[in-house]
Amino acid sequence: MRRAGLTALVADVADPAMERLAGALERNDVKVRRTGQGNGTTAPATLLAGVLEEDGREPADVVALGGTGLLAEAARAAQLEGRVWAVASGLPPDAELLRAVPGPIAGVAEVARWVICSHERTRGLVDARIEAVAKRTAVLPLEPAGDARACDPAVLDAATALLLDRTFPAAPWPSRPRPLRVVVAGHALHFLEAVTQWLRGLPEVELRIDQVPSFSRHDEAASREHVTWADTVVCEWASPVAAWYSCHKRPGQRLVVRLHRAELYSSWWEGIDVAAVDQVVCVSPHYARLTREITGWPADKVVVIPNYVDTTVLDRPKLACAPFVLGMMGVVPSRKRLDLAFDLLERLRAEDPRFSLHVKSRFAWEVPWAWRDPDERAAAEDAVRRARRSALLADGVVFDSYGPDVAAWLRKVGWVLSLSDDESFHLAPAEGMASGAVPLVRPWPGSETIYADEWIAGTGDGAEEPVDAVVARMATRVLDVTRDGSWERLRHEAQAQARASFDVTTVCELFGRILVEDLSAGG
Amino acid sequence: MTAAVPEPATPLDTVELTRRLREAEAERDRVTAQLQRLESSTAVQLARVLAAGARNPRRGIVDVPRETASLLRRRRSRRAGVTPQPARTSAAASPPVRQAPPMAGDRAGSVGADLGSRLVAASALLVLPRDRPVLAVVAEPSLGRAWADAALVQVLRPDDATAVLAAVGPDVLVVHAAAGRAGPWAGFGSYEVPERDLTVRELLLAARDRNIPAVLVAAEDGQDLPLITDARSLFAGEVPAGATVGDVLAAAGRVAA
Repeated sequence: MRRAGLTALVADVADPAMERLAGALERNDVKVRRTGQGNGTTAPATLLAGVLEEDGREPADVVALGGTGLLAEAARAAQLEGRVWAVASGLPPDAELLRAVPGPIAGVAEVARWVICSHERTRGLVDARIEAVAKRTAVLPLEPAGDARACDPAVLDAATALLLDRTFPAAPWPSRPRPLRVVVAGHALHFLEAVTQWLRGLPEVELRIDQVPSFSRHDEAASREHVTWADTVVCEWASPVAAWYSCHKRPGQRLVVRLHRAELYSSWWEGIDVAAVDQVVCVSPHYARLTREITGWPADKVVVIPNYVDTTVLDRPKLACAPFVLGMMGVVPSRKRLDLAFDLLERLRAEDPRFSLHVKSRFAWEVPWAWRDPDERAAAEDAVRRARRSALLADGVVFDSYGPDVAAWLRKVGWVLSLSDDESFHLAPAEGMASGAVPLVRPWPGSETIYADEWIAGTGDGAEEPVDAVVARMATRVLDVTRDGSWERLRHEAQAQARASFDVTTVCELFGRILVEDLSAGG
Repeated sequence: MTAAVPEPATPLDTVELTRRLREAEAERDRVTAQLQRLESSTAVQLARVLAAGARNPRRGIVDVPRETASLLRRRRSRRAGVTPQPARTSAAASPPVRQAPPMAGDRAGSVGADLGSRLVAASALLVLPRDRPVLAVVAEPSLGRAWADAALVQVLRPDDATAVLAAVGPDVLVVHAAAGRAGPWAGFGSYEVPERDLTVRELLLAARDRNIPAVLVAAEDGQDLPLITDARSLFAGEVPAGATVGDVLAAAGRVAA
């Protein structure tokens, strides 16, 4: 992790919470410059002007701002984008937060790297009311509460250290004579959002984005300029854009292409000159193998970097009900098999009515292509009907609204389901594991190359069996674990695995390495 | 001899009809959107330009090349992802097509009323002969069973609670302070599960707006929840754990205990 040399501007330190944060940053080896110390009566606009002036003299890695007045001003400070730690201190009571979070907190979300709350409960309310920050909230105990640990400096320092480590992972290569010039090209880059964010924050990297208008079209003149400039080009999709780069890259320039399931079963990849590609990235060993088989590309060029989860955001205290709550994220299309989740819940509730299933997803009627498909439409209608008409399900199924507040929603979930017929990775179990839930994974092809055997409800020897038997095995597992009290141990085990394998810092490190060197195709 | 009075529609009839109407509206919206796409297509507009040119050859000599070029420019800019400007053609100008409202499938972010009404329509519990008081309850199902002899109990679930409240029109809304310990309402009242607290708050406000009294049933351990404390003014009354239907009705001001 990169701590040495980090600097922070903290304002307004007349606010005790901000002074506590300044202290915690200093104790974590961050060089802190305080602004706004005084009698606390300085106008927010004046305070922000001071911050901007100070930042203009020497740009800070962290710009920590507190107080709704200052946050309201900071919402317009585009030059601070991505560096603001917005401290949501002095908030109104929970009942008012439930109705609406103060406008300045919502406003600053655009420029904030983190919105920092003092308590988990406040964080959940902020997540629920401001979708834009639901994946960028953190808890630092800066304000006292009923919790005795709330202002314990040791707890605060440890939480601050974790947040710094998450925000500033080091580049996985030795120092360079000049920054590495990286171009990331693609029409949709959301799968790489955390990676590009990390690259932007590395002083050893200059990042440019070739944001092309669609999967198959791009501005060749702009792409030519990128080729001239870059040391490494990453194409997010194995598309005609990647094909163009493979034909126009400079000798010695690195070219890395990500290949998703959608491209593998199309003909898009056929235009790529694989001889010009240094490495092709798949999300699982199973898909890497399929890629080698289908494309015939050299085996050593096809490597695996898994999808990532953000443990910092997902790891939150579980609620007391969690051991009896199953969670399912994403039920469209129907091959996600909500019907099997119902089968599982019926088995569980027949034994213990405390179990419930919470579904967080869009539904077929909210997805135009699915609603046009008669099979999808029928599956959705059957699911709704069954959820209400089955005696065992009627009081045990809850459909929650789709949204980015997954981490807050997972607080009540103790078991996370992956019941699909087919997946290339399925992020839901990884997210659930990172939250501290126990995964229940149906043995879809390739699942064993991503998730440990203990979470997969298979026979253990790879033999296929009827899906009813898989569901029965899952039910037995859940009942046994809740009866013998091993849920707590299992969930921590799952969480440790998610942290080690899928955490964003781990995955960023792999992406950092592949920018400058070949990864081993062995995994 | 008196004229036969038509039977009032049962809640299920109303719900089913509402659902059918909504689906018909969605189908109409889909067709309207398709028609709009078709009418705004370059092919159709080009055909209109040519037809207008054929009808009036003198103007057509000038209009057809100009408007064809305009259509092609527009087509290119649309393909390049630029927001198309409406074609400024005279003969090709079609009557303004009403902007189709977003289809259910176009909405993002909230399942909203659509899910609620679908769940209500799928529910088998809504035909309610009113021979007993009707209670809509946020509670564990066991509470509903305990009151089943003296009342018609409609258990509310978080995903369709407000829709069911509206469809059933109960005599009293009952909230059990212990409902959040497990099951569908797990976590409610603590502000730790905002989606549940929001729903309960919406329910209480909806009940107030419909003049349906809300009664709080205390938890067995007497523990008060933060949300309940904050929303106490929305309750008409409170009864202890183990209260009877008569107690609830009395607390609601409906009937004496």
